[in-house]
Amino acid sequence: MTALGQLLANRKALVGLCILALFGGLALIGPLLVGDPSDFVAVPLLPPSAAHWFGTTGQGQDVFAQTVAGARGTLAVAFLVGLTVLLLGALVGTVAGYFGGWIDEGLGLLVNLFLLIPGLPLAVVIAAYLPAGPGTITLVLVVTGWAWTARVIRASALSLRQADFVSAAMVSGESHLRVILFEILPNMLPLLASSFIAAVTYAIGAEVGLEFLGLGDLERVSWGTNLYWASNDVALPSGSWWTFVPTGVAIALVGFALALLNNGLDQFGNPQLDPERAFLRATGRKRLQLSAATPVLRKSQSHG
Amino acid sequence: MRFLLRRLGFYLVAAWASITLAFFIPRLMPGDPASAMFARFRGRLSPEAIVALRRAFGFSEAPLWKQYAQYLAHAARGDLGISISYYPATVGSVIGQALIWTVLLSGVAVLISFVLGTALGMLGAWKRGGWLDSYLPPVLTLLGAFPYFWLAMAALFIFGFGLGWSPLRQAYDDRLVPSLSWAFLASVVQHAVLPGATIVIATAGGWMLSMRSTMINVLSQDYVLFAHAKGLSSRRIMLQYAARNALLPNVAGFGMALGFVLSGSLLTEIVFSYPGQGYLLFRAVKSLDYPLIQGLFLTTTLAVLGANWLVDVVALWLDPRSRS
Amino acid sequence: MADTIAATDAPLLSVENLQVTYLTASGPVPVVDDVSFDVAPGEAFGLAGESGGGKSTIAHAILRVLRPPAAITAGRIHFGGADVLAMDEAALAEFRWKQVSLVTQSAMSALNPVLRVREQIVDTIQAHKRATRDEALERAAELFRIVGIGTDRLDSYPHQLSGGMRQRVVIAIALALRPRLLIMDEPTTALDVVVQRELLAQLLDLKDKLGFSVLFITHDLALMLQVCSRVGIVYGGRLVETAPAATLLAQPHHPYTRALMTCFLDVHQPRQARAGIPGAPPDPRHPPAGCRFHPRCPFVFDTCRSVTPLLTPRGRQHASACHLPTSGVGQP
Repeated sequence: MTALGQLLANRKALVGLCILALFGGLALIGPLLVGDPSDFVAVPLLPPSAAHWFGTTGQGQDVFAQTVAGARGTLAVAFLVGLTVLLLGALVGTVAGYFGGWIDEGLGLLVNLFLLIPGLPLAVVIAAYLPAGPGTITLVLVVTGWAWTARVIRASALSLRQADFVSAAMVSGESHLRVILFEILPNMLPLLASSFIAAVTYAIGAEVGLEFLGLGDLERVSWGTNLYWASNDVALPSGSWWTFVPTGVAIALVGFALALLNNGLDQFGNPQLDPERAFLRATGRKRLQLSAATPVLRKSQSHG
Repeated sequence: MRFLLRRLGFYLVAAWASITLAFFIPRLMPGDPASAMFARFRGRLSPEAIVALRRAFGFSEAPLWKQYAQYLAHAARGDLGISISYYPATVGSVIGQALIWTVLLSGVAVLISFVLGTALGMLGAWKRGGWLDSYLPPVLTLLGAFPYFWLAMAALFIFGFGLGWSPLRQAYDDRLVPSLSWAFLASVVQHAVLPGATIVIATAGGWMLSMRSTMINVLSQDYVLFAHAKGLSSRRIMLQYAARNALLPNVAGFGMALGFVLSGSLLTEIVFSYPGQGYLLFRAVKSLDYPLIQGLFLTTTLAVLGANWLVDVVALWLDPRSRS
Repeated sequence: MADTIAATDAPLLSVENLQVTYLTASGPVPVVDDVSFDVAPGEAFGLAGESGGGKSTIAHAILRVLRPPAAITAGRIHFGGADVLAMDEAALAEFRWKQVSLVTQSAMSALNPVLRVREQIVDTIQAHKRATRDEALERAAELFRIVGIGTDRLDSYPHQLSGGMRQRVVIAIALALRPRLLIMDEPTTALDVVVQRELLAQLLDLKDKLGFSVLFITHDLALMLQVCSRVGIVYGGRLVETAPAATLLAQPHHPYTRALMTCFLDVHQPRQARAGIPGAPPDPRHPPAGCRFHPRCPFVFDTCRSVTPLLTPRGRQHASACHLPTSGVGQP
């Protein structure tokens, strides 16, 4: 089975992919289908109805349109951040793990510093001085998010460096660049994929958080700004749950789908974490208790 | 012991790096930072506010290195300048009060979450295939996929506005005067329940999954088999042989995740108007109170560094192999 | 070399037709099949074979500590007259350690890294007897003396002890409740040769003094022949030959046994060409038809490929599962 085939066979990963495909589609063509989400369409704070499936916001905008349009706003930035974090993290991590020595010490220190310094305050400090908008958000998210990927990839590069085939390649005179590009990186593909997913997951959450705080471009429609306005337009006291629930559910679905996908990828490299179902069925048990004695199951017919 | 000192050294470097970052970031911004900042206020700044800004950032006519040295000296003294939105209060005093509330809420919530998540993970791994192992992790993962502050909004909506079970905002009933009386303390607890519970539910899933994973690894180790063969009770094996070993990497992971978790809990404060660092940050951003923003960055970072060092101490204490 | 041949009546441990199967997602996989052997009181019986051949599985099955997805699917295990396979959890708690105990391969991994060694002895004692902590500590000190470790080491953590000392600790724990049978699973593999000899000599000494039996599992045939009075050879989860040690050394019958013998160097013999056994151990999921060894056997003929050989007697207490005739062995 090809890698993709195996992935698809995993139910969890399949569900995750479907959800992501749905939202990806919304991000791509959604805005074309719903018209301008910032338009004033009806009386503010109307509950869901046939005319407005998710009701209206505190400023009289259509919540459904905002949720759909918000997909593009949020996912585009998240995707870009994920990609940049992956590239930067892979660069730093591979160089550090491969060359070792003081290069590793120096880069390692840098990585550890950025891992330690809490992301939100740092992001706010930088973003507060820059014009509000997706560019700023992308920048601060990359600055606060690159270190985790770098650390993970560094660990992998370090261990791959010791592998025989790498030593063989180096001894046969391949340049460092070629070794990195053709020997090391190709063996990290599952890790790179999983890191990308983790980075995008982080980016979505962090982006929404920053925008909720008020640092996003408030004229733009994205999931984060939707929640900012919902909170600011007193959704809660007025009981207008529809102004914040759809966006939240959308964010959670995407996050959950990414987690499923990552979990599906996990089954690839790691032994199964699922309990042994065949065993449970055969022994008629519901739970696998490790301190239980080895069961004795005789077949119904005795052998000679 | 040497390990702890080395870690402390690292944290000091990190603290210095944060202060340096705080110094340079305004100066790295395009254009002349001072005038860019003043421009933001479109001339609405009072002379006092200008002085506050200058002091906070160490803007002066002196050469850069001198400004930096002064800035370091101020920071070491705890002088973070004067807040613009709370003028004439100093940044330090404003943050001081908020810090206590944040440490109370987030500190307690994160600890509860870690203990709860870890215990659930341990039990889930011990009885594989049960509901604890099959259903709870995906449910908690799904809940954790919602932004913390969204869960806060939902919780506040249902339990606060809807059912009226919880107070709606702030850290205590403002008809009460802060004191060590029962009434006051009870009010504090009452106000902390909902925001705290939100943080616990949002984060417990992560700890649960990670403990479950390390437990499963540990359960396949020889010493667990040996303990089983020795005829030890189920409970002793699970706790003393499996969990104690599975806990070690998770404690280290706890430290690393602290900064991340704190970011989420700060946003949660905003929803509840809970007077901690998060709420302060929200107001500071709204009014572009730069000295306060900078001050919050520094204090939050230093708090996380301190907490990390404490976690290192605990991790060291738990693992006898690292003591020698 | 031990040359006492144990009496064959009233065996202490009796294993009959034992079958252990892994119930995996892709179907049941038998890893131990139709294994039968006895261990008499006070005897040292050895099981030898390649790694992964099922020897440890047999040992763990006796104590019923095999982990899921393993299950015992056929056979009988009797110890001192009691049916081990019929025991419930309570009976097993009594049985384990008090009657039969286990010394595992790598002592470093058998000892809990976060507990002091004295705790790991004390909890064993207290799990089985009503003993106060002081009584248990006294017994722990006594055990340390028996295995030859200074009692000042009681407070140590496992990582603070050397490999040999750790193995002694494991043996001490194994002897804590005065078991009647000690199962030793590759107990000296992780140790250097000098320590190995010391430890084994000491162990045999203890065995004679305290009177317990030993089930000695190893892939080191030469070592086993020195330590045990009777021996069984395991291949592909099946017992292919059993014999008294002297007999096996002099007249090995099964081709696998003979191949194993040639794998070991004897310093005193004239130089000989060494050969490993070509091929690989059988995959338990797809074992070869007929005799499991036939793909690697230098004496293979047609019957071997289709008919599974049963253990047939070849001499006094000597049986071998092979289609080759008893005499004229070695001629194709």
